Amino acid sequence: MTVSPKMIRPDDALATVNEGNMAIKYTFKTSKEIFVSAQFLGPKQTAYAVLNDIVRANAKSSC
Amino acid sequence: MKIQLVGLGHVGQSLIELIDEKKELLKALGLDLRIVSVSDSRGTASDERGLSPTEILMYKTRGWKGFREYVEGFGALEAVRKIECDVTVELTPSTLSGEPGLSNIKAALAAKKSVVTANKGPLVVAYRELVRTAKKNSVRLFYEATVGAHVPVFCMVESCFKADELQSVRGILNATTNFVIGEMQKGKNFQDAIDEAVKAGWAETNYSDDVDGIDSARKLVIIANALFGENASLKDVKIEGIRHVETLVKAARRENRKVKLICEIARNKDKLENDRFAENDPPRRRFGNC
Repeated sequence: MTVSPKMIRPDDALATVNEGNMAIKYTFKTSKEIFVSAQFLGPKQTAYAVLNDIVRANAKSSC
Repeated sequence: MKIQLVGLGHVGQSLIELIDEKKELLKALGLDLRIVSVSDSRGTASDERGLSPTEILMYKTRGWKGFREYVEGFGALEAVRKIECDVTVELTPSTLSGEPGLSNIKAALAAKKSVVTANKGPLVVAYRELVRTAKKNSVRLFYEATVGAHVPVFCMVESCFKADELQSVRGILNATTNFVIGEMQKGKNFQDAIDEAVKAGWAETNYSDDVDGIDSARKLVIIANALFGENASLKDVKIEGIRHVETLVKAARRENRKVKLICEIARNKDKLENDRFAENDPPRRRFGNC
């Protein structure tokens, strides 16, 4: 596991992640690459994720 | 559903605003939310009939003066132990020791309350213990907000890729460092870029955890434990921050490339095979929060 500054090619999806945003590239055995990027504006987005978990906690099914 | 909130910083207050803003939508989803207590570092306000979100925010701003439901000195841990509710929402600041969030979460799970948290610290320090305690007490532990705020991570992998095998994760998990490096790529030096980040609200005045890569590493540890079945801690992450990134940024500009603070983890096949043999439980399916 590493966290380090890396020089990446312009065609790498992570190169398109603008300032202040976050993104994750997942690689699965069958589905291959899934890329998720999101605009992060501040605590409201984190609070939204918390609220969504509260809604899930209320649901009988898992996700 | 009765919830209690522990921690009333930026995220806690934003959550209360959202609960108020989305109350009709929440009702439509069948969720009648009642905030039965809120605790900050000084005390706790509680009412089993439910506190008004508007009043919580107003009185918090006024230092709780005149709010009859607020008891100074009634600490968060005591509130978690004593106040009845369905879900404890733990939002205290993330620390290396995991405290005070770790004790709050343990107390909530022991009291058979489900827990929702955005606090990375406790999960970095004691992920397996917390997941096991939740399972033992037939309650649930949710932590989607610990990694990447609203970027779908745990629930997406659990719900959309159940029949697949996650092999690696590579990401940009810290918005502050992405902003700072972006400013440096425009020509600023590190200190000017940091100053700009603080001015623009992207960085706290104490930005060490962000620029030294600690915040990113904490998120990576949670991903390792939750999605790869590891039993990792911060010491398992090779961490390099961005304090000395100027030379790399200059080289990238010359080569028309970008510099990013990249977090990476790949499946450790040997370790996971041993793990699987030991516990007879495919690690891929050992999700804690769903």
